Amino acid sequence: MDSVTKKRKRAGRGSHKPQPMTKAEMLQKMISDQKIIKEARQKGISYEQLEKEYGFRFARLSHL
Amino acid sequence: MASDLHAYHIYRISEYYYRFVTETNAEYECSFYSYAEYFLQHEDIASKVFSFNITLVTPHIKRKGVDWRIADTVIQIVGDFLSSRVNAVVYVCDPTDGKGAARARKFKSRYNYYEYSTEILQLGSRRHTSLHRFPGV
Repeated sequence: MDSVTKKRKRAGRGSHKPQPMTKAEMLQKMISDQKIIKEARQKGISYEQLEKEYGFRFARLSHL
Repeated sequence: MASDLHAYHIYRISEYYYRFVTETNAEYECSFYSYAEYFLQHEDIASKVFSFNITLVTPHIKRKGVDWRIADTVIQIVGDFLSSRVNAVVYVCDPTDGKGAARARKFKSRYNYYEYSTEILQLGSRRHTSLHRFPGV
């Protein structure tokens, strides 16, 4: 888990309101998260694990 | 719009992701994950914003030029997702392999081809991230 994610999770559990990210932080984390998911899936890590261990929240999909 | 698409067959593997296989046997995986954390100051829309994630699971055996059916398949997946319940999808054009600009151009060209009545916003041109939303959001 990257340091930005850890900070966000810690901030969410406590009484302090999370501070808004700067644009640069946002973009950095967007790209980082995408890479985490890509590498995790290539290693065979399940979406359930990604939710529990990395804090991602995936949409539940319907049949097309 | 749907009748113009020549999408590949889309498999819902689980409630978390779709997969499709191209005619060159490349396999792609697609999912959507919440971007609510980026919109904390906009509580009314935060829960409605997701990032579209597409991963090449199995590379092409032998690629022969541009496969527009991949774009059609992505459009079908994202279009269905948008019409089902949410209002906005973010697509991050990964620049880490040096191909971010190419991905952004490809995304825009397909978007413009279908002349969507929705709105596309580009955030941080250097990082090639696009916010695709319906008017009013």
